[in-house]
Amino acid sequence: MMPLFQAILAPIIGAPIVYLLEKRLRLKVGWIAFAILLYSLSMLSMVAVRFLREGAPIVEEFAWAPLVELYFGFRADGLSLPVVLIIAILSTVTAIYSMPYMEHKTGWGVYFALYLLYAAGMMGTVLATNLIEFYLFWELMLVPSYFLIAEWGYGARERVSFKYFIFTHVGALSLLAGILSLYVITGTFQLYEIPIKLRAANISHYVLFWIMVALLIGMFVKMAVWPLHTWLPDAHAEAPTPISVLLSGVMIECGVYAFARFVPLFFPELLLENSHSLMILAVITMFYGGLMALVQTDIKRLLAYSSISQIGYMLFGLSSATALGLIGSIYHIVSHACAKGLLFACAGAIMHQTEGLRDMRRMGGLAKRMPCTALAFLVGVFSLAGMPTLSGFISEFMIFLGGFQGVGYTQRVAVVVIAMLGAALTAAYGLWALRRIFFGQLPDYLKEVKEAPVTMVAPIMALAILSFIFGLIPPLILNFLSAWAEALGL
Amino acid sequence: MVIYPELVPLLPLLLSGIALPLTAILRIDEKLKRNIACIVACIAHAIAMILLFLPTGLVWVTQKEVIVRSFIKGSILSTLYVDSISTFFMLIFFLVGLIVSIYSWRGLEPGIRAELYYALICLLTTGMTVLCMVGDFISFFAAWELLSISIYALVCSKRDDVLAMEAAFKYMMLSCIAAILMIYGLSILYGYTGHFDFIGLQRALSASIPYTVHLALALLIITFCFKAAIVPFHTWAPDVYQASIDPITALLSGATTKAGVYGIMRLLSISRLSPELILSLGVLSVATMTIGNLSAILQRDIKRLLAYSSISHMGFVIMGFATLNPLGLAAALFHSLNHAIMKPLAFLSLGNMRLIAGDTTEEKLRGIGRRMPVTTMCLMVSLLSLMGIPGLNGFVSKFMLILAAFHAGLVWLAIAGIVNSAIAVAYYIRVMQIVLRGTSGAAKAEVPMSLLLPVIALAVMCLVLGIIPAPVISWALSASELALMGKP
Repeated sequence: MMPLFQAILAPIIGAPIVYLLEKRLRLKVGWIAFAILLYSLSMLSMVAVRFLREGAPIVEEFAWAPLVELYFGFRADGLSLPVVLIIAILSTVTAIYSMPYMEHKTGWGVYFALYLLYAAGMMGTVLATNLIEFYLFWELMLVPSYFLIAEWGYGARERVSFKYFIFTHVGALSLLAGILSLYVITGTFQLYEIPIKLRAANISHYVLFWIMVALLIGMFVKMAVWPLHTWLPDAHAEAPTPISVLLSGVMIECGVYAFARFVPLFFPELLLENSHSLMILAVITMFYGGLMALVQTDIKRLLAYSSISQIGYMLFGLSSATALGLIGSIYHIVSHACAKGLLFACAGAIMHQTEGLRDMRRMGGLAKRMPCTALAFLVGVFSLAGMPTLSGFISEFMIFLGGFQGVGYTQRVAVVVIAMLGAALTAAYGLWALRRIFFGQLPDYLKEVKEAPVTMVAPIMALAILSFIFGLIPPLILNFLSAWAEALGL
Repeated sequence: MVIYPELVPLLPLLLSGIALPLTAILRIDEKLKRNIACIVACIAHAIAMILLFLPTGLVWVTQKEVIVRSFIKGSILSTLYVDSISTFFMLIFFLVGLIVSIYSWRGLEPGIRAELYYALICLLTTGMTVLCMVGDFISFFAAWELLSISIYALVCSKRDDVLAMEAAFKYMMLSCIAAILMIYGLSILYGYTGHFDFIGLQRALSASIPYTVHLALALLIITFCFKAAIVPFHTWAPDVYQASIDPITALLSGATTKAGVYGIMRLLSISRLSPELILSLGVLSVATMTIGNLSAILQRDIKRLLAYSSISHMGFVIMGFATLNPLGLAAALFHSLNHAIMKPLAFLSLGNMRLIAGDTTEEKLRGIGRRMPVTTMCLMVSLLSLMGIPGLNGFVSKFMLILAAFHAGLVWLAIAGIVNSAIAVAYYIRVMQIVLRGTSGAAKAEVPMSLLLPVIALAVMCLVLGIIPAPVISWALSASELALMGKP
């Protein structure tokens, strides 16, 4: 049966089919893409249920290149399952959202084909069992997203997509350099053999440090950690909105996943040693993103900078090198995917209903005209700001608690306190944006605005409900993550 | 009369090379003549390819043993030497020859004498195949000249094009100088060892050798580097590639540069190159990659840009030789094959675009993507593969090359490879954006199927080799282990 293979292969095989069906089905081809992703999602949910029942990671493998003992396979465990599930959920609901968004544009077949490949790339990255496969999917998520931005984006899309590609690809090459040097030392690409061989190889600290730096640069570019973040505001703001949802909601989090997957496993001592400097980097990222978000007038740029700031939170949790911090970061992937996906989708709905209005200075009072969107936006902002009962609260709570734990107590308290002040920034830019968009005087030219079509509102509402569910029933995710933390020995 | 089974794949190519010009005297319709010529050339290449892969074909025979034959008993000349290195390169030559022959059916511009054109292509492939099969340097030199002369003529197939004439002349002059260097090197080798045949040379060169012989080997390597367009012997390449018609550019960058790579590989297998020579190959590789890439960034004409990118890729191939381990050599072979798929794919897709857009400059090609979806998709596959995106064949071999460099302890070489991959992305992306830029509102205008078919076939090969590279890699590995046999 191999449900994991089916889950990844379905969108890859579906991509050409969707492309060919466009002639007959026109825009409705989006429903095919939706059905394919729904199929993947159900397969993954099956695996998740099995994992919880059996408690052991589910691995599917076959020999790929026997020369270098390379296996092609997928592995679902406590870390990968929540991440891959949220990727599948977000890409499934965004497939519906894409249809009204694309109705005034052309090239639906290509759009949805690339969309499916993009989703497959992200899911494959998370489930990969070896570094080569990981790199393959890591690049598979870059190429379709590049074409999606270059073809259907806004503004200076050529320049923006160019920047996006160059940055991410160069980052990926740095990652590749790290992967190759790991292979030369250990002689294997298999994820779970590397730490054993690495310890046996007795490599000098200095070499390991630089290998970690090479890997980290690759991940940080994808995560858009300051100072490697400059591609993000452009790409996320100018991408077509459904793609912004995925870029911001789950793609950059693949970098967080990679960090959580590799660094504590390969370099546990180095992570502890450098924990403090990584934390400071995280705090800078957090504040930089938050402050920049505060001064934006373009709604999508605001959300893009907010993503940088949220990545700061995740990096903060990861670099604390404590079980709670790591779990909190991964939990925050889920919270952020729901909340930020929701916010971008709301921004897209507003743009769709107001013929492309993005400037918040020209908005106001839209809550009367678009009540559902306004309500959802509110939920998203509150979730990011860490309001109890919403999933953002749980994750941020754990991240900061994780920050307080561990070694180097006195120095660390200062950093954590500053980081917690950063959370206030999130509330500030979120609520201010909310006020400027939805409350106050409704300008005359927005008098005729109506609520977005149901195919836009339904995905938005689904994400809002998910934010509540993950906020009220944390064991849904914590069951997986605690299994991972136990396996890691934290 | 003994019939050597190894020579059978050669016969159809040689015969059609000789027979096709004779059709010039036939008083038949030009169009019919062109069709006949095309079919004959395609069939010759296809037969050669099939014979190579038959159960009794050379590919499988050479996996087990090296075929050595002497036509005249006791003579040092006219020997046959076929091993898995030879068959690997024969595959490359037949493949590119076949694809180009199919493409040329409709892709030839009017005014080109089809029967002569196809005869030259057949002779070129014959030359390259003989090059791979001979066992002594005299026959090797003869084959080398046969393929060079065919190239001169093919480059100026457009007889009234001054630029093509100039390019062919430039190529001829430089090629002659390179050939002279080769003869010089060979005479030193002969003077020292008293052998021209590979086996004798192998025996003589296995002991420690004096400085002069190293010089001779260096001279031979320079000749081969010239054919492979390695910096600083690359100056002919951009001009020739740009001035030739598109199928010939594909043939040159895909196949004939690999003749030079074959030469280096053969030299490695019969002699023990000094560490300095190997190191200088590494330096040449870095120089080639870097200069090729940096020049490519500056180009405004897409065909010329791809010509420079071709140079930079040959730098990658040479990188494998500098590592001098089985993985590196196998990677160099595999990258040669991949390059022989990716680059013809790029040049032929560009040729399709030229048919619609009129030229290959940036201005003309802007927005062509919307008019020619299939060609554009194939061009994208080629560019992504050249860029080294995983899932496509270019990645696999590039990856192996860099890995081999790490293994050999040549960290600087590996880093240079990675940095150059990063630089290269800049101009490939630019080509993509030029093609995709959405200003052209004109109707769809795709080229006929016979022009699309070779391109699609190559694109599919890119994908298949990218996902299932293992069989070809193990073939390349067996060839490279053969080349390194008995060496430290």
